[in-house]
Amino acid sequence: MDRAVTGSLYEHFIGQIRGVLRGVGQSSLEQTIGDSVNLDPAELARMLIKVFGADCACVVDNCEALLDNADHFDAEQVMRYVRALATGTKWHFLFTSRETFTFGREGREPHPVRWIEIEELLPTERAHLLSLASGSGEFNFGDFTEEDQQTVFTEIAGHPYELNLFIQAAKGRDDLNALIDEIHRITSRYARLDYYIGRHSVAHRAMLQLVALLDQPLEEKKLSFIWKNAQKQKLETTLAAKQLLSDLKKNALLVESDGAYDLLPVLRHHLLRGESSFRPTSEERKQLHHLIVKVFYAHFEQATQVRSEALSKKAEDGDRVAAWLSRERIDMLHRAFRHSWHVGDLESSCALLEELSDQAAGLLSRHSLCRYAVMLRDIVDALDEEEWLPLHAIVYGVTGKVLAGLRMFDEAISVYGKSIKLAKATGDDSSLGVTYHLLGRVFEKQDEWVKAAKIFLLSLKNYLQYDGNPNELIVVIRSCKRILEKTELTELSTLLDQLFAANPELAKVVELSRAEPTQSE
Amino acid sequence: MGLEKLESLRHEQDCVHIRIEEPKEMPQVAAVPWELMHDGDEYTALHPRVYLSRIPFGVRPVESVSIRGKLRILIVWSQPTDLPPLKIEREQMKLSMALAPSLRSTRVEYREIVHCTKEKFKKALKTGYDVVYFTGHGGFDAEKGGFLCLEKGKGHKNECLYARELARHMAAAAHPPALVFLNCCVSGGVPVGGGQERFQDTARRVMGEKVPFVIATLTSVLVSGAQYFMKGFMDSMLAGEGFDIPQAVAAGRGALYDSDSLSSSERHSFYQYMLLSACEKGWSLKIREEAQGRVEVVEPVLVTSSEYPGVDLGWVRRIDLLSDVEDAVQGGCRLVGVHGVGGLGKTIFSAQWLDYLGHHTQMNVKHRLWFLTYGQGCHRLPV
Repeated sequence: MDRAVTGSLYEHFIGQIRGVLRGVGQSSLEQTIGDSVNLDPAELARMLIKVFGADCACVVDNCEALLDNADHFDAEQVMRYVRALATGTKWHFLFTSRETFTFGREGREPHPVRWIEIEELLPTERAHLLSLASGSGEFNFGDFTEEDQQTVFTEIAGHPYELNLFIQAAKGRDDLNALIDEIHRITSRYARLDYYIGRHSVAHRAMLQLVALLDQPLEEKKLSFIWKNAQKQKLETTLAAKQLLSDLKKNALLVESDGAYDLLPVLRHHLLRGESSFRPTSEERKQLHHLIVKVFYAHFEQATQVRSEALSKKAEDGDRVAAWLSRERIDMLHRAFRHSWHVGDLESSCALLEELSDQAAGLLSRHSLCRYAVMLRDIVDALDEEEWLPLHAIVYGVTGKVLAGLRMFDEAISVYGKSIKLAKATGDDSSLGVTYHLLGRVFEKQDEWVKAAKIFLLSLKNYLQYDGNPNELIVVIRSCKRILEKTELTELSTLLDQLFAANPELAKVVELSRAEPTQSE
Repeated sequence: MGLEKLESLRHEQDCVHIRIEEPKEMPQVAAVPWELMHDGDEYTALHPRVYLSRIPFGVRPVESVSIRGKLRILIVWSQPTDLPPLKIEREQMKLSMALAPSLRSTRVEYREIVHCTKEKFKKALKTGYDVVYFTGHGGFDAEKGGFLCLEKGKGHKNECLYARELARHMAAAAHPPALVFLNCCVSGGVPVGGGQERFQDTARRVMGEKVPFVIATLTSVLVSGAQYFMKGFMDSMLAGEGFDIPQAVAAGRGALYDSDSLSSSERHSFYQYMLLSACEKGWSLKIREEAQGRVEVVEPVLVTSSEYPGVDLGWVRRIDLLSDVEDAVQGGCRLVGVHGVGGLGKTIFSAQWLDYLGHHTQMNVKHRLWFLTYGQGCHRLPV
C-alpha cells in the first residue's frame, strides 16, 4: 500500500462545481450539491444543463488524476461524474490529461474522445517564449553565443516548464557555457528535471520531498512547524523553512498561491512516481508521513490553546469558536489518517480512525460528514476482504456509524453485514456484540422494531458469551429494554429476566443510567 | 535601358524598379541570371534602392495586392530523412527569432508545419494564407517539372510534391497567397534549352494560380546562404508599416552578400534569389480593414473556478494545436482531449481554447466552463 498521498478529488471537484454555480448566482443549488453525498451523477448533469443550457463548452483539466485510484482514493467516483457530464449533455468538452482515456462502459460502445497530442513548442512558439523571457533584465537570450542559442532553442525551449527552470538557473551565472554544456550532456527530459533539483542542497531537496508528500498546498507557517520537527529528527540543517521555500519558489520548483506552497503536477509525479533519483524510499516516505501526522497533532494542540485563550476573552463568540475547533480537529484527524492509510501504516491508521469515530458523528456539520463518508466508503471498497486485519473492524464500524448518521441506512446495513460476515469467516467473533448493537440501532431508527430486537438479542448474547466491556453491556441492555417497549420478543425478555435475576445490581445500574445517556448513544 | 539611364534614375527617384519581362517568344530570357547585373561599381540587385523583379509570360498583371485584417503566414518545414540533412534546426531558430518581434503584434499571425506531408500542406493551403514560406529540398525534373520534397509516413521519407499538384492546391485555397517563398533548390530555375515546356518550374506554375509574388531560386542554393537570405528578407519585410516585398528581397540579398562568416563564393550566391512579380505598381502588401458592418456578437459567458489561469500576452499561443482542436470540433467531435507529458502547457492551452471560443462563435456557445480535477499553480515566465 505504498501510495501517493493526495487530497480528495471529490472534495475538489464538487468544490469547483459549487464555485461555478456561485459564479452565476445559484447559491441554493450550490448548497444542494454540497450537501448531497449521494448525488446521482446523472442528476448533477441535469442540474447543470438546467443552469447553463445546452450550448456550453467545458474544459476538464488534469484528468490524469481520475485515472488511477492508487493516486486518489476517490478517482473512480469523480470519473463517474465527469462521464455523466460528458455523455449526459450535448456540451463540447476539452479534456487535458497526461494519458488518454475513453468513457467506456462494459458491453457498450465507448463514447469516442478525439485525442490530440500536445507536443513540444514549434519553432516560432519557442521564439515567442524566448522573446517574452528575454529583456527582463536578468535573462537575455541575445547574451548567448550562437551555438549556445541553438542548444537552448533546440533542446530546452520546446518545453515551457523546463525553459523556466533553465532561466532561473541561468540568472546571475557568469559561466553560461558551462551550464549549457552540462544540460546538453543530459539527454532525457526527466533526467534534466533531476539536474535542476540536484543543484540544490540536501535541505532544499528534503523540503521538496516533504511538499510533494503533503496532500494539499500548505502555508508557510505549517510547513515551518513540520520542518522544525524534521530537523529535530534527522536533518542537520540550520536553514529555516522560510528560506528554503523562498529559494525553491525563486527557482521555479515550487509555486505559491495565497500563501500556500505546492508543486506542479509534473514535478510531483516525477518525484513520487517517476524515475527521479531523488524519489524518497518507502522508508523515508513512511518517516515523513509519520512526521506529518505527528506535527498535525502538535500544530492542532497549539492552535487549540491559542484559540482557547481567545475564546476566554470573547465569551460571546464561544459557540462559533467551539464549532471551528471541532471542524479543525476533525479535519486534522482526517488528514493525518489519510497519510497513515496511504503509506500503509495500519497501526497509526487504526488509532486515528478510532479517534475519528469518537469525534466525527457528533461534531461534524452535515457537509463535512458527507465528505467523510465518501472517503470511508472508498476505503471500505479498497480493503482486501480476503485478509482480515483489525483495521477492517474499525473501518466498518466507523463507516457504518457515519452512514447511519447521514440516514443512509441501506449502506450502513451493508457495511455492518460485511463486518459480521468477515468476523464469522475468520473465527474472530469476540467483538461482534458491538457491531450487532450498532446494526440493531440502524433498524431501530427505521422503526423496524422486530428486526432491531432480534439483532439486539444477538448483541446481548455475544457480550455475555465473551464477558464484554461492562459499560458497553449496560448500553446494550438499555437498548434491549427500550425495544421491548415497542415490540415483543420472548427470547430477549426471558434472557434479560435471567440476567437481572442472576445479578440484581445490574438492574439497578441500568435503571440509574437511563437518566444520563452515555456518549456511545 | 542603359546603365547611364539607370544611374540617373537612381539619383532622381527614391527607388528604381527594374522589371524584366520574360517573353513567350524568347524563353531563354528566363534562364539568364539577371540578378548578377553589374553597373561597373556594384551589383545592381544589391543596391538597396534598386528593386529587380521578373514578370513571367502569361501572368495577368495586377495593380496592387492587399490583404485582409492581418498578415497570415504559413511556414512549412520539410527535411526527409533519406535526403541530405539541411541543418534545418539552425534555420528554424533564425527564422523564428526574426519573426519573434512581430509575434506579439496583432497584425501578423503564424501557422507552422514541421515535418510537412502532402496532406498537411494541402489542408493548410485550403485555409488560405497570405504568405507561404517553404524551406527544404526542391528540384526540377525534365519530364514532370519542378517539385518540392515533402515527408511521408513515420520514417519521414521523401515524397515529391510536383508543381502542377501544388498549383492545384493553390487554386483550391480560400484565397490565393499574396506571396510564396520557395527557399529550396531550383524552385524557379528553367533549363537553358527547349521551348515553352521548360516553364514547368514550381515558381512559375504557382504564379499561374494568381499568386502575385513568388520568391524562388535559379539553381542550387547553399544551406547557410539560404538562412542569411531568409533572415534578411524577413527582418526587412516585417520591420516597417507596409510589407514591401521587393525591398525585402533586396535586403535579403544584401544580408547574404554582407555576411562575414561566409566565403566569397557563398556570398556571391545572392543572385540565386529572384523575385517573380505580377504587380505593376503596388509593391507592398497593403492591409485593408475587415469588411464593415460586422454583426455584433454576444461573447459567451465564462464561468471558472478560482484556479483558472487566465489568458494574456504572457502566454505563447499554440495556434497549430488550436487549429487541430478546431478541426476536430468542426468535424463533429464533441469530446476532444489533449494529452502529453507534464510541463508542456496543457492547462494554459485549455484556457486559450476557451478564450478562442469567446471570439469565434461558430459553435453557438452561450457558456464556457472551466474545471480542474485537482489543483495546481501555473508557472509564469518572469516577464
